[in-house]
Amino acid sequence: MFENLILGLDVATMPVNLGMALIGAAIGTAIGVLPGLGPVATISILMPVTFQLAPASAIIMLCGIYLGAMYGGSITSILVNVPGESASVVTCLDGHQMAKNGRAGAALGIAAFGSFIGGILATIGLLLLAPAIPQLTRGFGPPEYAMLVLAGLLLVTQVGTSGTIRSLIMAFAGLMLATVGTDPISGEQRFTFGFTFLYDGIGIVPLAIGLFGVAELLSLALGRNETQKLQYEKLKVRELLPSRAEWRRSAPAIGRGSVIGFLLGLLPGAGMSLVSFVAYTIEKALSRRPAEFGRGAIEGVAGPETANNAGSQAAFAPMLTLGLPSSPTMGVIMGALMIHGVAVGPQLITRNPDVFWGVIASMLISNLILIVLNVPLISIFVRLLKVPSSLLVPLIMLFVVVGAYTIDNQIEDVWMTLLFGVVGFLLRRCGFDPAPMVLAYVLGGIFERSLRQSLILGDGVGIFLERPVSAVLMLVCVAMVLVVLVRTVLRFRSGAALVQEADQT
Amino acid sequence: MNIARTRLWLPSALGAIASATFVALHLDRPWIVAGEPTPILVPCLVSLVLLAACLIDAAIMIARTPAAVRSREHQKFDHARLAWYLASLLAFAVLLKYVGFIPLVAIVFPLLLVFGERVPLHKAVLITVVTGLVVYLVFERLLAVDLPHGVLISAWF
Amino acid sequence: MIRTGRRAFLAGAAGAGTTLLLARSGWADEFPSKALEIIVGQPPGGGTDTYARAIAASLPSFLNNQAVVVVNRPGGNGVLAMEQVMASPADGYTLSLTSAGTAVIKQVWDGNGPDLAVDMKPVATIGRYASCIVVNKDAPYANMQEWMTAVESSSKPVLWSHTGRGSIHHIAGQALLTNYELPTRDVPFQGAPDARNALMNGEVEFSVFGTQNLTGFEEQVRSLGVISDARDPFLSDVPTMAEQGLETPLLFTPIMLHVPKDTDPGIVGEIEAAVRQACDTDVYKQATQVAGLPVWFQSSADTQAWTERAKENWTPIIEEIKART
Repeated sequence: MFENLILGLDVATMPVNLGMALIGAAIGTAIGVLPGLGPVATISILMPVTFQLAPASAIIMLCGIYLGAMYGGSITSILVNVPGESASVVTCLDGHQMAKNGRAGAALGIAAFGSFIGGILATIGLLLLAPAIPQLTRGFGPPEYAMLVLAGLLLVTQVGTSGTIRSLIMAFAGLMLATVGTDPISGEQRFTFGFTFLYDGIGIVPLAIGLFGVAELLSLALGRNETQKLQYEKLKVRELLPSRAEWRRSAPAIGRGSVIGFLLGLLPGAGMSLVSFVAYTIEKALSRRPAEFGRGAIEGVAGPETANNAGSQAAFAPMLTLGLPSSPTMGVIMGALMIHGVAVGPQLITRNPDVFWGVIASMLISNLILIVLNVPLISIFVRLLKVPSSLLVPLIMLFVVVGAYTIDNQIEDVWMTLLFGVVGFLLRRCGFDPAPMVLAYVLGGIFERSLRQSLILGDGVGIFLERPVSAVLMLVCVAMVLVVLVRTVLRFRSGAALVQEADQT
Repeated sequence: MNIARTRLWLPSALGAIASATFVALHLDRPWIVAGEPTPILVPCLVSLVLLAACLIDAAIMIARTPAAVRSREHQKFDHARLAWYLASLLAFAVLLKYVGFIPLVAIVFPLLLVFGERVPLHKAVLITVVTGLVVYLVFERLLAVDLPHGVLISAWF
Repeated sequence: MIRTGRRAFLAGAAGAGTTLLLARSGWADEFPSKALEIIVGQPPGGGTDTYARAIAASLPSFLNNQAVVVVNRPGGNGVLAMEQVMASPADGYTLSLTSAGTAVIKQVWDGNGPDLAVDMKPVATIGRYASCIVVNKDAPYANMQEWMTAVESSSKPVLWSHTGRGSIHHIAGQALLTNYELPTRDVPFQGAPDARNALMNGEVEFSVFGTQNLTGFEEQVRSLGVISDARDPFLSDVPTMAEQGLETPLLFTPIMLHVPKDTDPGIVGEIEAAVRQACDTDVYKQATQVAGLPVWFQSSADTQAWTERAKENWTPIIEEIKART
């Protein structure tokens, strides 16, 4: 393994490649901050530029963009509740609440450090395990993904601040939305009502920006507590970084996040959003202060941010060795490799060791660059919040509209964003937290596809029990349902379940 | 008045949507054909659970006593400001294609700032100019994003 | 630090930026006097996108050195990209690159989408995809005949994976299987990587996907036969179906360039001539070769003839498959 690391570092520390990693990380962060314009669009614009580079350099730059965008997305999630992409949806839940509590700097800081640590640990994991990865993921087919995502969906009901039943309602509403678009199995159109823009389903970015960002700004328009001033204004520089107490709370979350992120990241069918919110719900379940989640618990930022960075790096393994991209961005990077004449597949490690180990080592370097880049930027970003809300709120509105449009240069995306904004606002006024809806929406597509594939493969539901991994996962799901049921019944007995959150503003 | 009961409309509406979806799909075609689940299987199951959850939520809301409802913190609402924001969003949704992004900012932004946020007019104009310029430079020139130009400006080129 | 990023971005976006600027101010006296755009309905990185980037890299020398920019406009199964081209000015500066067979299938399968033969004007064909029957490397069949005997004698339907219902590989594979009444059951996956992985994991017995997706997996899977009228240049040891005595109604899908239907025939002719020369360049051949994509030039007239023939011949087959599933 050390000779691999050395080979990789040799490739990654070549001045050209260092430069590419730096450029990639900087571009990635910048586009991550802009909602809408994502890494896929950016990479497609930059693709001709990478033609002139050696394959390893090109991929190193694209990895930099990918990792940078992952981090950049969390910045707007924390500051203005506008998630840049699906993986940073979870960061909104507690990150933005922390910003409201005047801890934006700490949230940004822990996101940066958590991502860094998660990234380093995941890279070490890849170095140790890479050659064995094709075998590790072999047991994972549609039935396993169906059960894994089902477990995820059951966890969704634990997200949100409005009680289990309401989380359930929101989650299933999200699943309903996920069925809009081209049917994943039969290829026919469902609930598209003849609109071409709905063929690919409702975009996750319009949905998330609408339900979180627009709903937030409408709430701020209706009633903001002027005396509280969102506490943005009394920021002091020394409060910019996480305090010692916050570090103590985050450290275990970062550790767990790295492991969860790495393991789930190796499963290409799971997707990055599953990774981040499994980490979130596990933190909430293990926490001694679960009630703080959704109101600015730093573990709720540290865990998922670490996990999604660890996961996005682990995801390189199935992409490079099995040709399975875990996200659209990964798909584009895989295509770029193909254009450079590097055939991904089980033989990649032996045929192009420089590419494989170079990419993995360059992730170490990109992580280092990202943290050096971003920690000094925190103070600048936090200062943005000092803008008086009478200006900040209209500016967020503009930012959201531009962001929605730049997703795909489609006016329909703006419509969807604003529509879901109003929906999210109404939901919040009625005491429903829309977070489970977004998360269930993301998982819904994977769930339905793998469930139906399994039913075809097994000619019935028996297949879930025949295969050992899926049987174990199914048991986990059953146990989770039982735990929730027992807890709810106990709560009903004490009468506590009757108290739900009244309203959230 | 019980705050909770006035909010019954939301689970009711969702439940109604769920039942309507279920009935429409169920009458349309079977869930499983020749061992293969049809496209309606998952939506049907989902709408059933959704309906059940909505009913439970409504039942809880009716059952709980007014005292159990945690009263909202006393907060001053500015419905006029909300209306201005909603109007601005509506303007963006409807007019973006025809008026174009930058002209729309020039029209909507001063109105929103002056009437919605009660910013002095000169400040509002200044902010609009700066914002419009920044958006134009960053998106149109730097990122080469084709923001909608609208009928008027497209005609000039 | 942000500035570095933006500058690099500027460099990257410069191509696209100048195109747009020129597109607004340019005046066509002599074609082409400004950059051309090829709109692709797939995200960057796929086979169609690779064709687009290869032709974009090789075209400028035959078009007054004007740049050719690839614009990815994914969405609506490629329909959005075609609609965008149809709606753009018919001046020859906006081209659409599509897999024609896929477009023909989509029209029947979904019952909507543009009709390539009527709604657009063909420029040329620059390549093609062929599907192939793939089994695991250690499967005990030497050729299609042996494999078919094994499938026929199977007691329950043999499972196979493909790249999604209504994709070219699904239709091509199913048409062959239906032709011989083989007892099979298809499991749709999203894209060739997933279909291939299901085969490698042993969830399905065989798989049908594009020949280019075998690259990199030669040690794991192998093809028994190519569904095409000629062997694939990159899989020269794999015989076609016809060579193995099998009849299959649906063959490959050509990759075609189109312009809006009102484009001046003179301009179409100029682009066609340029594409003909570009397809012969080393730049184009190398760029497609690394991705395992064959070069196949066809004139504008032949392109149109192919589309019309496919529409006529394929429609009943597609409708039959659609009715059965």
